[in-house]
Amino acid sequence: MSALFDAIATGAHTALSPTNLIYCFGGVTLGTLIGILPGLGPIATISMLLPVTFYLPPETALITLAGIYYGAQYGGSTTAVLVNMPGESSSVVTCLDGYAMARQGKAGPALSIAAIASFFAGCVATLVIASFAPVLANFALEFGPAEYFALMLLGLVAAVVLASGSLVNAFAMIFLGLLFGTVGTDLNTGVERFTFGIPKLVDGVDFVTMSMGIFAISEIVVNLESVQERTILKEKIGRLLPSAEDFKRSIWPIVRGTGLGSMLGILPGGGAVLSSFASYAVEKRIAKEPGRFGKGAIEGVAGPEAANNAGAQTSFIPLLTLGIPSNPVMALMIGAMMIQGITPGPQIMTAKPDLFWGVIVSMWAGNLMLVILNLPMIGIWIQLLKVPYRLLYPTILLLCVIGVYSVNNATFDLVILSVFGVMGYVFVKIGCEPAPLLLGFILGPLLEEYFRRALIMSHGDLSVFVRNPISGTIIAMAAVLLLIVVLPSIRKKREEAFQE
Amino acid sequence: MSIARLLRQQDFWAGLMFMAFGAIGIGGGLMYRVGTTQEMGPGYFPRAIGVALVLLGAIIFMRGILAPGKEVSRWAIRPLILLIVGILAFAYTLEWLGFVVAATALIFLSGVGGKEFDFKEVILLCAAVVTSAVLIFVKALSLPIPVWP
Repeated sequence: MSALFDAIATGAHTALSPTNLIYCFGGVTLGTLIGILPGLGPIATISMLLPVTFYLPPETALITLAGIYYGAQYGGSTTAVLVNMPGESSSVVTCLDGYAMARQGKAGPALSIAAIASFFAGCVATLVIASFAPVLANFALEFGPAEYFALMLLGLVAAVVLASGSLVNAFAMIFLGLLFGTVGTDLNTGVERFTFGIPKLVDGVDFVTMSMGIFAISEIVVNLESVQERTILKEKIGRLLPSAEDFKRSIWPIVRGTGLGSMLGILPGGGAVLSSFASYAVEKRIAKEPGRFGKGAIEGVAGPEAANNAGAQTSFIPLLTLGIPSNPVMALMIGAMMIQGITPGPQIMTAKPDLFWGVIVSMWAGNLMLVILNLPMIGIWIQLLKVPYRLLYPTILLLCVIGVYSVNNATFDLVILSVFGVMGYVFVKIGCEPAPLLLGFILGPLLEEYFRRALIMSHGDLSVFVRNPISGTIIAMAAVLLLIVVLPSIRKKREEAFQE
Repeated sequence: MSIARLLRQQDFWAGLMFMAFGAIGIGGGLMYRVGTTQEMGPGYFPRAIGVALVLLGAIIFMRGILAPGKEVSRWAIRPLILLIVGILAFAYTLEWLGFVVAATALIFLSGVGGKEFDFKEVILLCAAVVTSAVLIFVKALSLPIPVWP
């Protein structure tokens, strides 16, 4: 126990330094902002800001990026309540009852409960990370290449299974990402692969340029397809403080949501979206009057909001302990770490304790900032909701372009950006969700490396992945997961769940 | 199924795309040494990925033919082209005419791409955004970007 306190003290020393507090604040504010602004998601924003973080020390960079991520969850729920439009996919369910409450003039209590639920979940999830991560990291220190290969396989399978849309398409997108990952000099042999004589490609496809093109640029084009009208709430926000009755109704949903979110967040492929859906389903099922749901039940806001925040945070566990991203945002974090020269994996905790614990403690600090600062600022956020998209997108575009250019000061990178922009739009049009591609791209080079090393050690015997007890178990888990989704009955259920 | 309808199938195009990329991967296996399982060459992994992509692409392609599903919705050609032209114009002019000209070109071209284009509004937006970008990126963060020609 005292070891945990020591560790948290180390973390506090890093996270609570003035510089890091300022960057954490900047991150959560920016995150809230993009959560609120229409047509700008966390993946696009984090890719846009990656170039800026190159100049920061690693822990400051990660603290900022993490702040953006959970800040965006928070901002996303604000728009869900106020305009019935989820700012992020994790707050889709918050729309149902949150907006209904707003229509009844109870937007204030809905937003407050959402904030309180998020804060509570954030605190608990931070503790979960602090007590769980070291155990997992110590366990993983023993892992060899075969185990890592198996883990990454499981991560990729799970990410696909839990994503929406066609399974086959998602798998194909992962392989496409793996293929993009092979571009550049092969580390083992020094051979240049798929560079087509372009010197810029010798170091591989730049991951900032790729994710910005595929996510940010194509997102703008998709948004420009149709003019979106946002109806701003006409009803009064109402008093902010929830009534005693509201509190009583919310306590258990918050606790249950936190528990669900913390568990689902750890799973590869889990995280905020899945957690919020699961929590809403649970609350509706155990409610005494399920009929109230959808008509402004505060439980339907409290539970999912706690769950998505807990899930968003505990999805850092696989990242920090195993170096495995559980969703595309975490894949970007891995990219950010690698740019900083840190190899993600279990050794981070022992080799860089201030980074590891600093990021964890900063999450708690960031959550506190979100509650204290955002509730009084709701008025300002509502004003921001009125910013029309036609003013927003040229600005976003300019930021992207400056960001890509600043990485290498090379205008050729902007040509690559355009290529990926068009590609991203084509993906959307032909029904291929691009997120799995990013996971494949990030994990690709590692996957290849571990695959090669494992087979060198086993003298080319492929059965090493199954014979090794740990990697065998992990691969079996991946296979079971895959089987479950392919089986028709469960597949139908999965489609139903995503329809809801 | 009529050819016109087939050509609107998302799966038809997705399948073709994946198979084409798969062919590139397999081509990598031909260009670069594949090696053995114990001693893998640079072509081993790309070839394996290529084979998987061709197989998955074929499944998606067949699905498009046998079980028609979602169709490709209308392309937003105008915003796409103007955005890309804007980025390329920025790339082309930046080091030659400076940031102010390049950014103005980018904002104007992308603004024209939108549905509601208001000349006066875009000028105001340009002035505000370019000024703050120069202040933040060139003055405060001192990125090495030429401001004027």
